[in-house]
Amino acid sequence: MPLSIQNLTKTFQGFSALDAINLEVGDGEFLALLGPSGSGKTTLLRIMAGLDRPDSGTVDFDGEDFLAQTPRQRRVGLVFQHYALFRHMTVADNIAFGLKVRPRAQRPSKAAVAERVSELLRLVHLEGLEKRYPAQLSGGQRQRVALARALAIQPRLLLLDEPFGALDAKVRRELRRWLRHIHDETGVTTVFVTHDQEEALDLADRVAILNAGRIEQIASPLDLYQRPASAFVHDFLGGAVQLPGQVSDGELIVEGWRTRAPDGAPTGQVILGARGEDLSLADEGLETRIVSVSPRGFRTRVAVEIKGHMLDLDRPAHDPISDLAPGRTVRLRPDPIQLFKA
Amino acid sequence: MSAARRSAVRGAAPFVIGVGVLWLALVVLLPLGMVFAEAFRRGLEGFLQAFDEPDAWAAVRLTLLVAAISVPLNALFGLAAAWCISRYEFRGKALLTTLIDLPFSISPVISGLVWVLLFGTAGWFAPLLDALGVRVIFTVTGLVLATILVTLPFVARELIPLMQQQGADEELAALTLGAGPWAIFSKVTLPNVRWALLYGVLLCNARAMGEFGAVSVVSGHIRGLTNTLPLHVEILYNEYDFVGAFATATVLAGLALVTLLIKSLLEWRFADELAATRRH
Amino acid sequence: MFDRRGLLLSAGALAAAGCSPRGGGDAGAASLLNVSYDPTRELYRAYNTLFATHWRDTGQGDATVEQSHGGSGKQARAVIDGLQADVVTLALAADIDAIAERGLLRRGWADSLPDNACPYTSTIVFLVRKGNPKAIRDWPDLVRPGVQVITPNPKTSGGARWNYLAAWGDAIRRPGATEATATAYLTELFKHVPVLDTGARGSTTTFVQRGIGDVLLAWENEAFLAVEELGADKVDIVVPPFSILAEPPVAVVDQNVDRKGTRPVAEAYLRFLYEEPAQVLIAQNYYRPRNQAVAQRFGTRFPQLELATIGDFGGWTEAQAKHFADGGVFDRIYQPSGA
Repeated sequence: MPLSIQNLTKTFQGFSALDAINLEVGDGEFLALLGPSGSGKTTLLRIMAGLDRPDSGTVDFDGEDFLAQTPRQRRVGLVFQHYALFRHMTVADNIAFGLKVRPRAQRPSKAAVAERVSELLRLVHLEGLEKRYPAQLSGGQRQRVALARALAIQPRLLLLDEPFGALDAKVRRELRRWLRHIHDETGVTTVFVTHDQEEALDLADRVAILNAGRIEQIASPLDLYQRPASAFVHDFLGGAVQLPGQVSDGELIVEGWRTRAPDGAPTGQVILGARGEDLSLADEGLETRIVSVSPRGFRTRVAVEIKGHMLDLDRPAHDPISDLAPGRTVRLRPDPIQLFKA
Repeated sequence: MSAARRSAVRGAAPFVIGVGVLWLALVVLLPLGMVFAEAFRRGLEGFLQAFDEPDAWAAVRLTLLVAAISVPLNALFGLAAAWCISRYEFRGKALLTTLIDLPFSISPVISGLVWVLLFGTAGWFAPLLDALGVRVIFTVTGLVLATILVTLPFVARELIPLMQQQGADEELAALTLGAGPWAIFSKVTLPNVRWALLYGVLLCNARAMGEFGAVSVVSGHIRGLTNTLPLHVEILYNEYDFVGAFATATVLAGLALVTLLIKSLLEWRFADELAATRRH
Repeated sequence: MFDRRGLLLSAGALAAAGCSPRGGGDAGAASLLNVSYDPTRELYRAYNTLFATHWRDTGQGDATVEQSHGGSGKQARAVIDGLQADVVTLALAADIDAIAERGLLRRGWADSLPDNACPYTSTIVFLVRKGNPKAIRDWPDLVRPGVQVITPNPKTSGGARWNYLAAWGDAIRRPGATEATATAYLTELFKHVPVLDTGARGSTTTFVQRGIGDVLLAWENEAFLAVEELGADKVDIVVPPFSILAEPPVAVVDQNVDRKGTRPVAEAYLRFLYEEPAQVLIAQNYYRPRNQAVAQRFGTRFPQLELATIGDFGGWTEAQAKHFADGGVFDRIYQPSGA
């Protein structure tokens, strides 16, 4: 049951939050919306959930006009960053809420509701906690209850708004794995908003990168990483420097380094994006100063500076770069050479 | 903090606490004690004599009636206003918030006088009221209006900061789960604010029962009919029946103490729930 | 009782379903509202019982009279604003005139009853501390250094206006007196007043209960009542050689009684004040009765003294306009005392 968004636009008091967004999500797909704060990803999610209306554009789900439906009709499950659990209700009542507020005709019996609650508690590994109150749970537990609550209504679409943002790193990683597992088990179409690129790349089938209300690129994590469509995408997926340069007559000149431009490179003013792992010691390359070397067991972190840009390299302990002394100047050469039109 | 400073602060603690207790004793306990002492100056019999008068009971009934009407109305208003202010942006929101605080800043006498100017026989609405054959000022209706105005802010002021702080997330979650507006209100909003609501209602009630200035202006002081307890106390005092005045005042003090007792009992009984609500 | 039904109606409808004491509705039972001035509480409590008995004994049925008390001017304003008085028994004619001016009662009200519609009179005397330590005997003593005088506010209290006029009357009759000297005397007098209450009763309480001031300018009846209630061991009455004949009038509020259908009871209520049993009650409550025979019986209670009347001031209309209206003499001379 695909979700199809066409030409969606939303402005807030002159500020353009979403600008002609086009997006398709396949049945059962796990899509991540990734971008910096203010890129519009939360706005997009809220419109999908029915908490906001776009200024123009359409949102269709399974051929039905979503925008014409009430939240109840849409059957969308929404998980908030700060859980939004009903603080005065027990875990069981929280999960059962969506079932209990159905009109009489569609409401399941008490027994059926209890059954479903137990089933969901098992799914999220929180059996035995029915009678607890949210205040008595840890952050990770609360988020699992929130997810169970959203799943209780058997949603056609599951939306998660930076659900692990309020949790510490270890719990975040655990829940990440677990969320993917739940998705695979239930097969529900899922859209997941985050600003953490590691999370997005780890979890999603496809990732849509948003920047200032526009979609920069939608692709699988690997494609995004290896074939970024723009300097923004390249930079956002982290750990890179971006250096201005020029391409003319097949030759690339970047910060005093000349080399042959790769096939298909844009001409004129360009930006060279170089990730830490793309760089290796060479006779010819970018002039680099070693700032500090921090051994950490099997790996070593080397902080370097290239023409005023700081970069951290993460190398195995036996890598030649790890042996360099701080203060030395060497030449590092990127491979592959990623170029974007400036 | 240095060790010397810390011990200085520690040493100062008994003094500061002492000042606080002394102040409280002088300003609250002593007058309260005087009320009871004066009320029983002629012994239990003297005390009970004050309640022989039917006017006294009429005053009690009237006070309870006025409170019973004003407090629920202001509770409803407080809920509605807090809802609007905390959940929506609209033009005039700041003005509304200021207006809600207005009864606090104007003298209670003015709060009463405005009703006379509106609904008195020389007032703005006089022709309309005349045509309808309706009287407002110097009747119980006027008393209720004056009391409503004076106690307007109490519930709203308790609810607004709480609802602003709680945010709309839970309500939005309920919306996406398919709840209709009434279900959202009764199952999510109301339970989340019930303690603040209760506290606001108690404050509102205390003030409604004890209000003097505004009520005095619109009352007409008709003995046995439009005198609330505080007005009745004034009458007794003016008739040199000092024991009677203080005895009646103990009823007011008693009502206030009962209110506080109920609040404490509820807080104690539902302590866990209270902590859970607050911590979120 | 009739009001309870009205109360429930207005509570339910949340609208201004007016409530007021209804009269004459039920067969044989009548209800009146008597809006009175401050010191008459005890008098009317007794009189209402007397009247109710009389009304029942003459086969007219039950009569309940509700009372409201306060400063005379304040009460008059309340009636104008809609307080549903059947009768008004106020401190001075000017206040009833004010009500008549609004059309609530007819202008010739003073002619409807004997003695300019004043069934009782009083005068202004001094109430001093026991033993009269400051030796206050006459009006000039009030402005001696160190003497603090208690009087209510002429703007709201009828008694206060009688006080003021008595003081003025004394000042203006002194040899060589002029308007200027009288004004100067009153200016000085009010400088000696630390507290201005709204009504006569409030001033009495201030003087006796709170112990403020050296002399209270009071209605004669108030002074007697204070002695009786608060102790002859605390205060003394000093009757100055000269004072004013205070004539508190009574009137039926035509518009209200006609609407409520209570005119017969209301008129009878006021007329009965002139009858002997009522006059005795009046004297017992320290008011000077009109009935000479009754006055004789209480002879020693009410000393003789030289009395001016309101006529000497050109009547209330002129006195009110000159002294108490906005911008009048009182407004010009009164500065709130720093005391």
